[in-house]
This record gives sequence, C-alpha cells and structure tokens, in this order.
Amino acid sequence: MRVTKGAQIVAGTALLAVAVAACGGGSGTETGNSGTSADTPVRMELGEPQNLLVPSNTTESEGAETLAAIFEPLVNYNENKEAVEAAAESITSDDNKVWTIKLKPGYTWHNGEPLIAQNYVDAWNFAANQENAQGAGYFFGRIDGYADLNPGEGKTPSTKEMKGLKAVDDTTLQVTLTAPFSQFKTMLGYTAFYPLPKAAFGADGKVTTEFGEKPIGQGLFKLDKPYKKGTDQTIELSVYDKYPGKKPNGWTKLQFKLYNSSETAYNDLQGDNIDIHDSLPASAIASAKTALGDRYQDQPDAGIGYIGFPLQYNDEYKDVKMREAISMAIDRKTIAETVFSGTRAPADDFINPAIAGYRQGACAACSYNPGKAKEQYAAANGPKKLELGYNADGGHKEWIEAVANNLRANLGVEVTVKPFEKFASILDDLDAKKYKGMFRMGWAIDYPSAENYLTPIFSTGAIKTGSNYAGYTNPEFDETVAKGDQAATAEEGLKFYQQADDILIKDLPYIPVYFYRNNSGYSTKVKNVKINLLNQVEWADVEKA
Amino acid sequence: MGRYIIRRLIQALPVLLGATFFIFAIVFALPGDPVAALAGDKRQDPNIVAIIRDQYHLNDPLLVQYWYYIKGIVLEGDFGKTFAGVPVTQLLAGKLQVTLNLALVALTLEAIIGVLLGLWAALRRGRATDTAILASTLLLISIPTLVSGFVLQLWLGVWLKQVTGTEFFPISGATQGLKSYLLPGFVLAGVSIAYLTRLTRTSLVETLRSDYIRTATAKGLSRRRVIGRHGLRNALIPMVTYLGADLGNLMGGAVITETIFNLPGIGLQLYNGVYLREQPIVVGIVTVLVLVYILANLVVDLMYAVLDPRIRYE
Repeated sequence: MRVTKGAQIVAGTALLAVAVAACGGGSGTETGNSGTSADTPVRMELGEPQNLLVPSNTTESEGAETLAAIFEPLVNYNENKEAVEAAAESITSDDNKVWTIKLKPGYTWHNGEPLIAQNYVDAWNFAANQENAQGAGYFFGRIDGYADLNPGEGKTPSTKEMKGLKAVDDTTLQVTLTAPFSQFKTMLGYTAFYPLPKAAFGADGKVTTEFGEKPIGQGLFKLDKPYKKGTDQTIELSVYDKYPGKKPNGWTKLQFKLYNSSETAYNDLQGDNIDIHDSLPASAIASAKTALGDRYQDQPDAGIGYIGFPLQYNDEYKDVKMREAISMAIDRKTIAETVFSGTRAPADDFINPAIAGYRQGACAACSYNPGKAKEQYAAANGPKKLELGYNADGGHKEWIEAVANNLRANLGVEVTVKPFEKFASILDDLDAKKYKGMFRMGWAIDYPSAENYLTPIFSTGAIKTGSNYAGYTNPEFDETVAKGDQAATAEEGLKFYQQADDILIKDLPYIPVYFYRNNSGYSTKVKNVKINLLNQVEWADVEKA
Repeated sequence: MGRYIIRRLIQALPVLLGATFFIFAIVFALPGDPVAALAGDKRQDPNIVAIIRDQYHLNDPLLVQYWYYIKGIVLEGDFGKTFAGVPVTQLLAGKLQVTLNLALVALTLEAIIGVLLGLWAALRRGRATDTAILASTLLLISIPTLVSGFVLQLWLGVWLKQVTGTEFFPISGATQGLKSYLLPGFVLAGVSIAYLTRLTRTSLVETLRSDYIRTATAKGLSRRRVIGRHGLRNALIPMVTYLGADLGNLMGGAVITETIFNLPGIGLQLYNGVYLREQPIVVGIVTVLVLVYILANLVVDLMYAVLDPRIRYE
C-alpha cells in the first residue's frame, strides 16, 4: 500500500515533470548561519504527510518517516536485512502461531508514562477495528480475532478486542495468529505496529485530533510543537532525554522541511539550506554525482515495477512461451539507465535485492534477448496486436512507451498504448473484466520479507481480497508459500519462498521490469548518513561535520 | 456611492452560491472513486472504503451532498474536512495568505515595471528603445513560467549566492518575509508584465494623438504635465481594468510558481483537491477566488470614477 511519496510531492513532481531542462549543476556554498552548535538543527527534506500523524493510519513514506523519528519500533532491521529487537527484549514462538513479545525495560513515553504491554494491545485493537477506518488496519489480519472486528460492510463489530491479543503482564505481550506465520517478527518493525499511550485516546475510545497533530511517542525524538497540517512548513523535533537507546552525538535538534517538489529541494541542498535529501529527482541524478561526490548515495529500494496480464479472463495471454517472449523483448537495462536516469535497476527476480531472499539473475527470461524473443513469439503464435495500459498520473508514460517500442521492434507486432486517468481506473476496469490488454503494475512492500512479494500479489486468495490483479492461480504456488509460512524458522521459511519464487519465474503471471533505487544526498554539514531498509534515516548515527 | 457598493455586494451573493454549486457539481462529475485515489497502488479494504464513503456522505446523490455542505457552512460555520480529517478552514487560512502575498507582490511588480516600460516605449515610439522593449516583452511572453522559474531560481538563488556569499533571493519557502516573495513574484508576473507594457504603450500612444493633448501642449503646459495629467491619466482606464482582472488570474494561476519556490499556497492544494476529488477544498478555494474577482472588479469600477470625473455611481 505504501505509495512512495505523499500525494503532495507526487503531484508537485508530476506537475514539474514537464520541465525540459535539467535544473542541476553547480555546487553548494556556505550559508550565512554558520556554526555547528548542538542547537542548530539537522534539516531534512520531506513531502507533506498525507494524514494526521497517527501510526495506524499512515501508509505512505512521508508520514512514516516522521513517525519513525518519534516512535521506537519493536524491531529494527540490520545490515543483513534481518529483524533485530529494538523496543522488544525478545520475540519468540514455539509453533509460529502463539508469539510472546517481552518488552525491554527503560522505555517511557514523552509525557513520562512508562511503556507497558497494554499500550500495544490498545493501539492494535484500535487499528484493527473497522469502525475506526484506519488505513493500516489490514496489517493485523493475521491476528486471531481480527475477523470479529471486521464483520463487513454495514455491520457493527460485536467486540472491541481481538481475542488473540493479550497483555500477560506489564512487560509481556502474547499474540495468537489464526495460522502459523514464520515471518511475523519481520512485520513488527512497521509503522502500523507502534504502540499508543493512554493519552492518545479520547473519551470515545478513539485517537484524538490533538494526538494526531502532536503525537506522544517513546522514541528518540519528541515533537516540539503540534504539527498543523497545511499551515506549517516545518516539523520540529528534539532529542528525548530519557530515551534509553543510542542518541546522536553532538546534536539534539531535527527539522523536517516540507517540499512540494524534489527539484526545488535539490536546489536547496546545493545551497546548503537543507542537510539530507532522500529522494533526489531523476533530473538531478547526473549532476548530483559530480556536484555531491561522496555525499551522493544510491542503494536498492524495495519497490518493483511490472507488466501484468489479465490471465483470468483473456486467453490470448495463456501461453507461457509467449509471455516469456514478451519478457525477453524488453530492454530493461536501457530503460533503467535512459528513461529513469539510473533511479531504477533492471529487474531479474520477483524478490527485490533490498530484501533477504533475492537471487541475482534468477529470472532467465528477464534478460534481453531479442532474437530468441522473436522466434519464440512466432512459434507460440502470439497475437499480432497487443495493448498496454498505464495510469497517466504517475510518470509512467515514458517507460511504458519504451516497452511498447521494444515490443514493436523485437516482436514485429502492433502495440497500442492506452493511458488510464488514474491507477484506480485500471483496477476498476480489471475488476469489471472490461480491459483485456496488458497493464502496468507496481508493488512497494508492507514489511521486509520475501513473502510480501508473493502472497498479496499472486496467491489465489488475493484475487478477491488482495492485489492479485492478474487473477493468477496455481495450487502448487499456494502450497509452497503455505509451507514457508509454517516453517520452524524465518530462514527455513525463506527456502520455501524461493521455491515459490521459482514457480512464478516459470509461470510469469507478471513480468518484472525494474527495481526501484533510493537516491539520496547530504550537505557538507553532516556525515555518516545511513538510510535503512525502510528508506528512513538512522538518526543516531548521523554526525555533524 | 455607499449604496452602489452595497448593491454590488448583494448582487455578488447569487454569483457566489451559483459558483459553489457549479464547482461542487463539476468535482462530483469527475471519474474515479475519491477514496480509492487515497490508496496508491493497492486495493483498499472494502469495509474501510464503505465506512469512509459513509462518513463523507459519498453515497448520497449530488444535491444531498451539496445540502450537507451548505448546511454545515450556514448552521455551524463548518466548511468541511479533508479526507485526512483536517478542517478546510484551517488548511486554507495560512495558504491563502501566502498566495495573496505572492499575488500582491506580483501585481505590484507588474504595475511598476509594466507601466514604466510602457511609458518609456510610448515616449520613444519608433526608435531603438521602443523596438528593444517590444522585443523583450515578446521574449517574456514566450518563456513559460516553468522555465523562467527554475532558471532564475538556479541563477539568482543558487549561483549568485555561491559567487557573492550572501543570499539575495531565498531559493524556497515563505519564511523570510517580503524577500521570499520577490523572485517568485517576478516569475509569476512575467507574462503579465509583458502584456501590461504593450497595453500601456498602445493606450498612451493613442491618447497622445488626441486633440486635447495638442490643446494642452498649445496652452504651453510643461511636457511632464501634459504626459502625466492629460495623457497617462486618460490612458490608465484599460490598464486598471487589466490589472484588476489579473489579481484573480495571478492567484488562480500560481500553482507552478508555488511548486517551484515551495511556497505553501493554495495552488497545489487546489490541484490536489481536484486530483483527490476533495470537494470541500476545491469549492472553498474557488469560492475565495470568485470573491477576489468580484472585489477586484468592484475596485476597478470605483477606480474609473476616480480617473474619469465624468463617470458617476449612484
């Protein structure tokens, strides 16, 4: 669900995408306000958060980045992409079904209350209850009792508590799932799983607007003043004295500056008016490498872009050989380097390199081979006319046109490119079985497990309730994923997920085209800026230069 | 005069009401589901969609939705909430100020530069200065805001700061008072400056050919007085009309400039409101713009009487 940026910055960037000139070039200089005292804030570019700052209603990156500074998750992710305990002391289970989470002592809320297990129970029950219409409510779908809180449209939940969720004592939380799930621990680092203090709830049991404007967390930073959405241009934070974990060395203030356009933010980075920019625009990549030097960073980002087929109701695409041929006819490398200026990488697996389980070159049909493509397409008797749909509001036109040109040139077929107004319009037409062509599709993960690239997009169950827009169904795939879910350890589970990944590579219900990259840069005033798996800055490591 | 103003303001009421309904209906007619647009690349939980739709009365017919909207304004002074739960009044209060500041700075720059250049060109009619001014206005008209905005931001914001070490024009944000608005104001006013220059020149050239100018000169009045009192004042009427109408245009058309210079104004808010089909935002902004147009027109009409004593209002 995570859109890459807040609506604001997407809209702003899309608006300015028409700009012909790349507005980079030149490097920064000193501003008037010199000095590196602890009171000068570290300043970071951010898009406007889409909603008020409530963890269970935050499913986009900008709100998540803000909340990550204020809250401490149960787990963090280390450099090996594994989940390690943060606010949790231990997370254990004998059967992958009943999980026991012990809390680490020492954490307090920014208003002084101690952090207790009940805070998690309250927050999760609130998030899962359909009456509260929280955007991230579905994250709790695996917990026993979720169904009671979500009886369906027009019905009122019979209870306000999930029966699978219990605070055994102040420091122990017990979670029972409906079915074993080996990856449960990896899920817990996400925004939706943050706890909420007693002070968050109003008399009616709902999170108050005041809390949404000035959330009280238990993490590294506390908000200095309420964030008035729409009016404020910055979000100001300072280090919470009683935070028990690692604190940044030599600075105490953090400022998020809200931008509508990442091009403008890049100009401000060059002018040393901000210190960290974690979403450099494609137009600036070429100049950023020379202008920023070592201060430019490029790392994998967990998103994937696909071309999908309406397998469920259009038999034209039924032949795997023909889908393989289409895949081999796409010149991913050139698209990544030219169309995307290196902000994407050619895809060669259904699992992204940012996540454990990725195997380089796993998808053989993902390498460019125009000769074989043409031969195989002819042998499979592929249709002479193809249609390729995309949503025109997300900057997808260029790469879709490039793919269409590849297919025309390499397969000798006629390709019509069909723009849809919004992404939702494609989905509506697919649901109504009205649109019969290929379509552009994308996925950004909900939690960093290989499983998240499989079940929500390709399982049979996801046709109705998830994002299986191809309508792909293969019992062998479903079984293999289920084996992974039930495996004794996360590592063992991964082996099954890779087997399931192999099935996808064989069946190609979608064609993976590119992996996202994260392109960031920082100013001369800071150093040691690291961006983690969730695209969030590791604040405790950042130092002033 | 007082009665005239009151009458004009009363006449504005049905215009305002009509505009709100019209805009409400247009946004209503946009394709796609506003709730689905919130979700990005993932299907939303149908339960939650249903609940949000219910909360915002999205399942009701147009007239019922409009009734809820107007009822909220009249009875509770509530202009509605965005899907994020932020009251529209709070959202717009700060942003309107920014856009109004930007538009006023742009209008002032436009009036000063436009009139001066036009005056200069008219007085040097047919000579090199005139040609140079006309050529540069053509240049201004043909460069889109998108290009001039980024180029000036890079030259005067980033490079000039590098070369001189001081910041003359902030690159982005509205935190440094008037200074923040100068560059974006100029960029926003660019095309209008060009038009106003040409309008001033033409209008003045025409006026200067009139009989009364010849009479004034023959009376032995100084050149300054002839041009200032008799020429320019009479030539001002079309210019004032243009400036009045332009205030609304500048406010409504500021989206690109606001985005480039990261000014938190209503432009991008309007764009997003339309994109997400958030009726309260779109209607709120458009209503304010209509109000600006109405007031600007009223001021223009009153200015006529000041400029030309023959015009009287009852």
